[in-house]
Amino acid sequence: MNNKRTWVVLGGTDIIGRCFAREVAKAGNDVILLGKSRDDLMLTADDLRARYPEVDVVTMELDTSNLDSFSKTVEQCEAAAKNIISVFSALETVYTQKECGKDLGKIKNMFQINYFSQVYFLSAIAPVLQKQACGEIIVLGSTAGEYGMPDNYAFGSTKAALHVWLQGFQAQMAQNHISVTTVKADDWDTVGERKTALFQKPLDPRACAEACLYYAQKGEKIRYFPWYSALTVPFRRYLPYLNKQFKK
Amino acid sequence: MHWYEIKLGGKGYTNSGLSQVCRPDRVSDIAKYLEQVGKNGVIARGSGSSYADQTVNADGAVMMSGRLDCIRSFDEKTGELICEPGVTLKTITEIFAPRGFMLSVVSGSGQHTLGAAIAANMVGQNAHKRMSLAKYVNWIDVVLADGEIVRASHTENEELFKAVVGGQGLIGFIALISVTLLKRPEENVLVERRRINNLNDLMEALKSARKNADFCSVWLDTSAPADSVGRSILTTASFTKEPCGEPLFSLPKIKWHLPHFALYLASLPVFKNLRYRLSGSISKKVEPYESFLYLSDKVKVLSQKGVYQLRISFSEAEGPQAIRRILTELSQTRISACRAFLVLTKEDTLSYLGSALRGYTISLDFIRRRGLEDFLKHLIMVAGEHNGCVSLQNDALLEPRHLFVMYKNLEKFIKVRETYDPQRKFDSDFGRRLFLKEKKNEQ
Ligand SMILES: Cc1cc2nc3c(=O)[nH]c(=O)nc-3n(C[C@H](O)[C@H](O)[C@H](O)COP(=O)(O)OP(=O)(O)OC[C@H]3O[C@@H](n4cnc5c(N)ncnc54)[C@H](O)[C@@H]3O)c2cc1C
Repeated sequence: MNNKRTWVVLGGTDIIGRCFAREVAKAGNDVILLGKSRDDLMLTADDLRARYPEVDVVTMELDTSNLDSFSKTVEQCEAAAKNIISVFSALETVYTQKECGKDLGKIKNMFQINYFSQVYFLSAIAPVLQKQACGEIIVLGSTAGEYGMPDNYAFGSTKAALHVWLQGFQAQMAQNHISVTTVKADDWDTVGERKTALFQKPLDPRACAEACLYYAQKGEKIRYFPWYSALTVPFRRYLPYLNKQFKK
Repeated sequence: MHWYEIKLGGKGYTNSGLSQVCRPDRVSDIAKYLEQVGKNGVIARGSGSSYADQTVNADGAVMMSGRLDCIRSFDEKTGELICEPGVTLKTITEIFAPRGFMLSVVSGSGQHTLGAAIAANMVGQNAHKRMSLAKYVNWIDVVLADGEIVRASHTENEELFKAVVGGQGLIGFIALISVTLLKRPEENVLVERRRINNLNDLMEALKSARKNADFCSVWLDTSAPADSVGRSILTTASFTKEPCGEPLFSLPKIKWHLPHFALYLASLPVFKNLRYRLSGSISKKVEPYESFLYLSDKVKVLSQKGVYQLRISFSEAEGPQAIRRILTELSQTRISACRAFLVLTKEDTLSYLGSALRGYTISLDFIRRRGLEDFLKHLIMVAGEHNGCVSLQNDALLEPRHLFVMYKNLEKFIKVRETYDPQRKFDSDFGRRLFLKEKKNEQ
């Protein structure tokens, strides 16, 4: 990545999106923040401007309930961008299985945001990047999408679907020299029901954002965060079965 | 909005507890989380580097401020920074030092959050000049037990301000801060290190440091023999126009993660003796201001055995005598501190629970071992006899009876707490340890 970029940050109002936006702004890149709440967008934009006054920050509201509006948003992004466009997508909403059990609408809501919104947006912006014939796309996945656990399998399934879609998308975009990096963040942090006394350290969003940028710069396809999750995930895939054994 | 069940502890590994933990993403979420708080209340937690039970709330709730880390605005003309409490001191330095601004307090570590630095009324190596951070705080927005956000400052809701500053999170949650960053006079500092033979010489040297130096701290050899009690290395620093010398070679910047053993080594008399002897009688060096800061962050000792810190403030009049007595006792009993530092302070009038007096603050770290607690309680008694004040920041051993003797504004603090949080929605193991009596009195 030699040239200056305009990073389109989906989910720019959440902690991970905010940390990523800071990371790229620190390196002198411009930022377009997309998010659902105007107030939150302003908050992140003000934060970036106070930290890095020389960086150009644009905010745009994204209505995830209206997927058809995305092509217009992409047009606006293209018009606002002064440099090569790259995308960081961390749109995510999380409900525990218990919450989903009480209200099935929450499952639909998770698919709408974690899967459909990202897939629609990336599909809509893909031609813009293909035209540039360069750029990076980073999508935040989750280890929850690797195996189903009793407390978060609905959330996990949204991520699993996204991971599969991204594999195909990555191959397609590679033809135009665009890298697509999926960073599977470990989910100790994101799902609330589990007794996490064993893992005292929750995921550090700043370190995760830093790692995402680093992996994209290296053109990685799939990476885990933290890196050692790559070693534990193959074993953790058996956890659902072990869980069953323990219950017995 | 999620709660997580996590076992949290203090940095010193002396206290820990299983708590329901939340991490609000935005200021407006704080009140919503507060509504869900049940038994044992909730306590705010920044980066969790208080040594003991200040941020531990067993069977209760803990609210982490790490995600409230937005900077709202910065005024280059006045230096006014408005930000959320989770912004760390290091972040502020990283962003604003290159623009010629600095925080008024220079602490040992940059990992601390700004909210916590105010709630713990942090003092640093320049406390003899600048006192604590609170002096430069224009106002704070505090979320109270009922979810209402109230602005407090030196002039508005002054009593609330004085109780929240240094109040260890027991009054409310600091949600927004306006603080003035100072114009940094120069880019570099001239750092001078001097080996000092005994306490009398040290006190003389400190007199001139109080007048002339911008920063001052003393490493103390706590295992020095009785005839050279107070043997130490004095570090002073002042801003200078002089340029930095180019080093012949520079070591790679590594953040050392040392095991417990390193801390144990540091407490051995042999090591202290070596450190003292190896330091030149006097050395001077011009350094960039940023590299002079946050020395504790360069070495991280991972000790899970437990470390106690005792930080005591003495007046100028009582200080030399009291410090001599403490150091002599340490030397005689051969209980060696793994870290011992002395800084100069000004009287803290900005906080009801402010411990600093115009004089000296000695800070002693000890590795946990059998019998140590009794000895430290004895030192607390010695501090009381010399009208000293034990700081609450990292304390693990104070008892309610000590508070009444050492903190002259304690009644005022209790009154404010009673007014704003009669149900003790904000509470912690620390709060229950020290204010238990107050509760009993009520009953
Ligand atoms: C390596 C090291 C160096 C240190 N150097 C110094 C030093 O130079 N000077 C000094 O004075 N102290 C020093 N300390 C002591 C110390 O840890 C500080 O007291 C500091 O405040 C801790 O910051 P933190 O973010 O880790 O806070 P925490 O330990 O998380 O919290 C400290 C206190 O502040 C309260 N609090 C946190 N956030 C809020 C909030 N938003 N609203 C209300 N209350 C809140 C907590 O409830 C707690 O009582 C040092 C400690 C370490 C480990």
